[in-house]
Amino acid sequence: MTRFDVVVLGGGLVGCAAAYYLARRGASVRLIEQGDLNREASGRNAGSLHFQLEYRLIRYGDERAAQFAQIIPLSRVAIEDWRGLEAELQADLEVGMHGGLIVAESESDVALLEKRQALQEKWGLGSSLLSASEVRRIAPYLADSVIAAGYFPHEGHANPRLVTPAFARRAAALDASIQTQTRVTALLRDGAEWVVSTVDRAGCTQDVMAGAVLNAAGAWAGEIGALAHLHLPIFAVPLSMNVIERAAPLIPHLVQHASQRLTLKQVAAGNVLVGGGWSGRFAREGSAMSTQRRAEPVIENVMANLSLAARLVPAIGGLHLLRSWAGITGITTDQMPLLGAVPEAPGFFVAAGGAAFTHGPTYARLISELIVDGRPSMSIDLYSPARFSHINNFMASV
Amino acid sequence: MVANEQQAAVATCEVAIIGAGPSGLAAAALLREHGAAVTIIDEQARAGGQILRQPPKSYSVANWLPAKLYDGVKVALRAVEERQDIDWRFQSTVLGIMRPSPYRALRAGAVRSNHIDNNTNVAGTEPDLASGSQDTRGEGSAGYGSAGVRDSRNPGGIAGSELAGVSDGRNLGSIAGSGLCGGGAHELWIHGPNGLYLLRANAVLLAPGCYERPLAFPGWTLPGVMGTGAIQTFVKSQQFVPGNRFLLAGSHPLQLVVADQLLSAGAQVAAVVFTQRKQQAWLLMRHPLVALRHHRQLLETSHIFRRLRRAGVPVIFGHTIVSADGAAVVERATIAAIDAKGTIDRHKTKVFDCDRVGICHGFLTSSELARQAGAEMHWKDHAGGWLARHNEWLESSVKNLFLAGEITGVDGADAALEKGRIAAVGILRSLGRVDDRQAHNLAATARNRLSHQQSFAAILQELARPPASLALQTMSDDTILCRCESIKRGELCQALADNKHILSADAAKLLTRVGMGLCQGRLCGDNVARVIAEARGVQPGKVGPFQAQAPVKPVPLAAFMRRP
Repeated sequence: MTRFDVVVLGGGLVGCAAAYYLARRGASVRLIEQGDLNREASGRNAGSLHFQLEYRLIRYGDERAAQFAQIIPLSRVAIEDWRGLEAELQADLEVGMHGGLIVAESESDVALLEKRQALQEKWGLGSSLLSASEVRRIAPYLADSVIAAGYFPHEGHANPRLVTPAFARRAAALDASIQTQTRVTALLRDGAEWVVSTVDRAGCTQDVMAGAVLNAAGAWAGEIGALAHLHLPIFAVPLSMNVIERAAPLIPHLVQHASQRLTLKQVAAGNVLVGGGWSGRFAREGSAMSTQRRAEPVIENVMANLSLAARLVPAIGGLHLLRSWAGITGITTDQMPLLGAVPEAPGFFVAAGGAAFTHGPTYARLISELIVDGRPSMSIDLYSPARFSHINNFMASV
Repeated sequence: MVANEQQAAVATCEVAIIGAGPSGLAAAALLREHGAAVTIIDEQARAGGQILRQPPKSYSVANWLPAKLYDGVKVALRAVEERQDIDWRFQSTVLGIMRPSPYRALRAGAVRSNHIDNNTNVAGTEPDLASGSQDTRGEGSAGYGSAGVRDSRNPGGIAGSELAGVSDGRNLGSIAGSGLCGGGAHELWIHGPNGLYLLRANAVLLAPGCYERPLAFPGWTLPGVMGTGAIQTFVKSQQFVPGNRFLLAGSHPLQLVVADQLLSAGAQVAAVVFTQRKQQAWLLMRHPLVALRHHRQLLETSHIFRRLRRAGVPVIFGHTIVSADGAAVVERATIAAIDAKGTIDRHKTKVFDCDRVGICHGFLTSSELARQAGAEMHWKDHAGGWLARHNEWLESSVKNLFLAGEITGVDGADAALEKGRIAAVGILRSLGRVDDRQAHNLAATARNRLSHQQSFAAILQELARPPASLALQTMSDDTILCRCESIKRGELCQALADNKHILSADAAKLLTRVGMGLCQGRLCGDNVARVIAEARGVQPGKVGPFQAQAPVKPVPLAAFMRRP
């Protein structure tokens, strides 16, 4: 039976990046993807690089917000990772880190911004609160309804179309074996060694040995966990995105809203991408929500999302919507990533959940350090699956 | 904060027909005959589809489409176009075929009961968007749960007006009740003259037709290079000649008809160029099936040949266009000979001065809505590329989404009429308006006619087929492949060489932007698939079509805006 040091499950950003970082550290790697590379959330998200706390993280009360703020140390490392990524991968990833604005339209929005800033500063991420006139000066495209904005100079965006394939190319160049259109059918553990059984599109089955298994399956990480008889509390959610036709350069920043769901940016080609966590709708498979079929956008949400975008950036109101789509991503019960080893299953690692585009390359780098060197270059204990040991205590055997 | 800041305006109907071409019109007539309520949505201002492109109502065009070829479809058009008991929605684009939202179940119920109370089956007007939308902005003011209550009044005045003569004596309640809230209904996103709204339909007939298969060659993006069918549209609907001197090049016999129409409209035709060798064409034309059953078309063709000869227009066989040149617009076109193996011989060329080039290599189905709706598709190159799969009632793999016309195979307008009739019977059967036995009887004649027409269509498709490798031969690495995103063939090939894991058109789109522009891949999709298929050593059918997303055509952002 062929043996790899690590078998990576999932061919999205985290999986392909992990394959690269693992291979670079000398590990023999096989990556297995049930469909094609970069085809789910990794290639369908909006490409935001957001390091300030997103609206979703602070809307559920102070106590939770304080807990979510623990993500900031990872964000600070991610900023450095993104700054160096194009050189590292020798590829144009359309990384543009020209600053991000979280805009406020009311006094209560401003209060939210202030609260957000206090939390961020506690964890070492200093942002500034811009007045209306300061906003106008750096972002003349914003509507007059904007009365203040939280500004962080390192925010921006990269192109999700390009990042995962660049990692995959580099991983392949380092002899990582990449198998697409291949599904994992069983994960069996013998001590700390694993047997990974797969079947490809043509029906060919194969078993390989692995010194470690890395679950980088995003929204499907729970299903992969189940193959190893583990509960990973990660849920699939369908988020909708909209792309607007090309326009002349207008918006250099990543724009978010203090109290509403919005991300807005203009990509290198000139298209404006509008998202922000609006829900799409899953297809049904019997009584269950299907994550194997395409999710659909919901028209009310598309309307609300675009109305908000055009209210804040009136210049886009005259353009055409090209496409709306829903991408399926994974969210954990506490919104924090699952990053680290599962204590109940030696040799089983997870890197999924959270803001897996912004933090994806960093998840991948740190988990590869953990797997190969035994400890990562920064502590990731806060994000460890060990926080759910009280569940897997009942799932795993010795 | 509420999840939805705005409710979309919703209308309901029993059967929505997408496309007012021959199949949609034939289906409408039969559905009305059996009492089903029909709403027809079409992008144009008048019915007829591309085949019977009508002049604007304000124009009077003497002797519109005199040729006998159009007789059958003209009868179908005249039979329904003035009917007031059909809900016509022109200048309207269907942007998506979605599953009905569970969030509007109660509102749809309210509309449904309104239908029953009025005993009318025609939704008379489009929803009034202003009153259909609700400004529920603000934290927690109204959730989905309250939508049903809020809109239990008639939302936006959608319910149809009473129309005399529509009553069919059937119990509409049982029919309307069977589908609206159930799993079989569909919800169309429509952008019409009054904005964006939803149309919920118990059954949908998708009859979107086809468009011209583009050929990419050096100069194909120059102003003046057009689809021959597009040239014909000008001539046909308004007797307007869009140019002075035309070169027509391709493989489809339509070229002869257009050349003839151009001549009679006063234009010059530099030449009509066919990829086929002359012997090949004659062999098929003399096929007994064609000779016996379609002597009318053959006769028409020989008349056209005679008129072209008299006007001194050369008809050249065994050649293809290889380039169009000019400073700002087309000034000349170059054609080259094709050898017996289908390979272009670039040493044997001819150059023609012209200011318009018409390209005509057959048709591709307008498959975007079928793909977006998730219908199973299959690839049949010369029958129109991506075709939707269907059962004997022309129902797609998606329940209550029926198909008619070219989307099941580009078989022409006469076949489209019969497909429309069969699909209409299928819909009546699905809605419970006829039983199985009645359905089979009703469809028998149409099925019989269709099978004859499809035999002829198969011969025509074979006759009109360009050499399989033509598209790959006419494109150089420098030729623009995707004109919306300005991506050259060479760029796609390089990306395929660098990224071995790219196997599908969709994956190539994501990596390179091919097909991401305004036309959503309608113009490049076929050629992109051929380039990928060649690079990976598979058939284009294996490469797959681009995934279609709603809206399938660009729509002004303003249509999505909340109305104050």
